[in-house]
Amino acid sequence: MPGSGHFKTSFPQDMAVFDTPFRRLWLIILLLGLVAFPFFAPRYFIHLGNLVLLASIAALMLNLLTGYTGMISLGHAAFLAAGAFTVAALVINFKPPPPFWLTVPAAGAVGAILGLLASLPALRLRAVYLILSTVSIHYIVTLTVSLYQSNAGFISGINIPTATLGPLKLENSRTWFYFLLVVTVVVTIFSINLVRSRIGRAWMAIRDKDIAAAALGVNVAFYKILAFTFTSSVTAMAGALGAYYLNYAAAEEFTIWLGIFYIAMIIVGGIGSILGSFFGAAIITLMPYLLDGLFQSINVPPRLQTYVFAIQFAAFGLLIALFLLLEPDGLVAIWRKVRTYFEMWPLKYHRPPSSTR
Amino acid sequence: MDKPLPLEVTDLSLNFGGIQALEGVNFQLRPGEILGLVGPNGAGKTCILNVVSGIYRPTRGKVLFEGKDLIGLRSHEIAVMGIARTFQNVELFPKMTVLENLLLGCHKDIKSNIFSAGVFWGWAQKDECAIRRRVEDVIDFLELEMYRKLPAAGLPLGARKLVGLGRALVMQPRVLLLDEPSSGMNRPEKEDFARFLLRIKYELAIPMLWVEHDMKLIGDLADRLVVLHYGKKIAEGDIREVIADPGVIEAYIGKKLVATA
Repeated sequence: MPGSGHFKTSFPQDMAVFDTPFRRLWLIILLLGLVAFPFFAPRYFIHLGNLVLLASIAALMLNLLTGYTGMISLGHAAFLAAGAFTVAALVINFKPPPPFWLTVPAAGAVGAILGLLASLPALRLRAVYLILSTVSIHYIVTLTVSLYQSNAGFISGINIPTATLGPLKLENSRTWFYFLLVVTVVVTIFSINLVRSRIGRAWMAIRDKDIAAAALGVNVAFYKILAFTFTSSVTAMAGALGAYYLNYAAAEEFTIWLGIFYIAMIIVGGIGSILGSFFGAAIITLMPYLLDGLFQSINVPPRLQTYVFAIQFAAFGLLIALFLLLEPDGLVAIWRKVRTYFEMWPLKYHRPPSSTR
Repeated sequence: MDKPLPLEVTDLSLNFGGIQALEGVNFQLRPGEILGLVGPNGAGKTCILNVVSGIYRPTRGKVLFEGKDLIGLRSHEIAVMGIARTFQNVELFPKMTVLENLLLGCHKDIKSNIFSAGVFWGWAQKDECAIRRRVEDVIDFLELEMYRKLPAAGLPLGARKLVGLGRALVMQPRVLLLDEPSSGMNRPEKEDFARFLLRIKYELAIPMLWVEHDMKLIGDLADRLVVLHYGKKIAEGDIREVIADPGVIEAYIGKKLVATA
C-alpha cells in the first residue's frame, strides 16, 4: 500500500490490540524499558517495582470484577489473604515444604472455591447489599486466617521459604522483578483477550443492562459466578506470590483497608480499563513512599512527625475525592487526552473516542 | 396443521399484587407475518412481550413457541431457542461500541470458554471472525457503517433504535419481538425503519410481534392487529376491521364522544 495511511484488510487486523506500527513501537520501547529497569535502578526501587507489579495483578482482577462485570467488592484483601495462607498452611504442615509450582496453583484453587462461594450472594443482591456481603466475606476469611495463625503458634506471621522454580531461585529482588514482569504480562494479555471476546462482552453487558443481556442469551448467573471465581483465583495466586516475595504471611496485613485501597486503585486508575489498573496500582502503592520521601526531603518539625501517618491517610482521601470530582474516569482518561493531543499535533482536531477503553 | 405456529399465546393472565395486567389474552402469530399489538397506555402490550421473553412469569396461561412451552424458562434460555427482542428504552449497553453491542447478539452461537477466550489465538479468534462476518452483514442491512466503532451511549436516538433492532437481528431469530421501535424517530427515520421492516419480512421471513403507538405506521405495515385494553383483548383483525370496531373506538377516544358524534 503506498504511503497514504494505515489500512485494515482483515478482521484479525481490526481486532489487534496494538493495531498501528506506531503503537507497536511504543509497546516495544515500554517492554525494553521495563527489562532494562533493574540494571539501572537501585535495589530499593526494584523492590518498589515488585510491589507495584504484585498490586497490579490484583488490581487488574478487581477491575475485571468491578469495572467490567459491575460487581463492587470490598473483599479483595480476603482473596489475597486466602492465597497467602494457603501457601503458609502447606509450608508449615508438610516436610519438606511443597514446591512453589504446587503451592501457587493450590492457592489459585482455594481462591476459586472461595470466589465461587462469594459469588452466590451476587446472584440475588445488588449494589450496596452486594458490597456488604463482600465485607462480610472479608471478615470471615481474615478472622479464619488470624485464628489459624495464632492457633498454629505464630505471633507475627508465618515464615515462607524462598521460592524455587526449577533451576531458578527467586531470592533477590532482581530475579523477582523479571519473574513478576513475566507473570504480569501473561495475566494482562489474558485479561485483554477476555475483554475483547465473548466472555468479556458478556461481563460488560451484565454491568450495563443485565435484563437486556439475558434477552440476548447471556446466562447472567453463570457469568457472574465465572467473574467472581476467575478473578478470585488469580487474586489468590497474587497473594501467594506476595507471601513468597516477602517471605512471610501475616494475618494483620490483610485489613479491610487493603480492600479499600484496591477499590481506590481502580477508581484513581480508571474503572473498566486494563491500563488504568496499572496506573492506579502504581500511584496507590507508591504514594506512601513518595510522601515519606517528601517528608524526609523537607525538614518536618519533630512536633509534626507523629502526624505523618494521619497526613498520609488524609492525602489518600483527598486524592480519591479529587479524582471522583474532577476525573471520574481516572488517570487513564487523562492519559488518553494527552495521547490524542500528541497524535493530532499540530492539529487541534479531536476525533471522537473510538472505544471506551 | 403440520407445522406448529411460531407463537401461540393462550389464556394469558398476569397479576402484580392486586393489579390485573393481563387477563385471558389469546392470539396466534402465523409464519412470516407482522402482527401488530396496539392499545392505549397501560394496556399490557409490553407485559406480553416481557412474558414471552421470560422476564415476567404469568399467573396463568400458556405461551407456545413452535409448539414448545416457554413458561418457566429463563430469559436467556428463551433467547437461545430463537426469540429475539428489542426494548422500548432501547437498552443498549452504553459503554460498549455499536460493534460490541451487535456482537453480543452472537453470544449464544459461539462456544469459547474462559480459557480459549483468554488465549484468544486459535479457536476464539476464528469464532470472532465468523461472528464479525455476521455482524457486518447486519451493519450493511441497517446502514449503520458510520457508527460501527462509536460508543452506543452517544448515538442519536434513531440510530440507537436501529442498533437495538440490529442486535436482535444478529441473533438470527425465528420470532422477533419489537417494543415500540419507532417511538422517538423522526419522519425520515421512520421511513427508513419501515423499509427495513419490510425487508425483514420479505427477505428474512421472520415473523414479528410488534408493539406500536404510531397507528398510521403499524396500520400500513402490519398484516393483522391485536388490540388490548386494560389487559384484555378487545379486537383482532386487519387495520380496517379494527379501527371500525366500536370497542376500539371507545378505548381510544371514549364513550361520550361516540355517543354525541
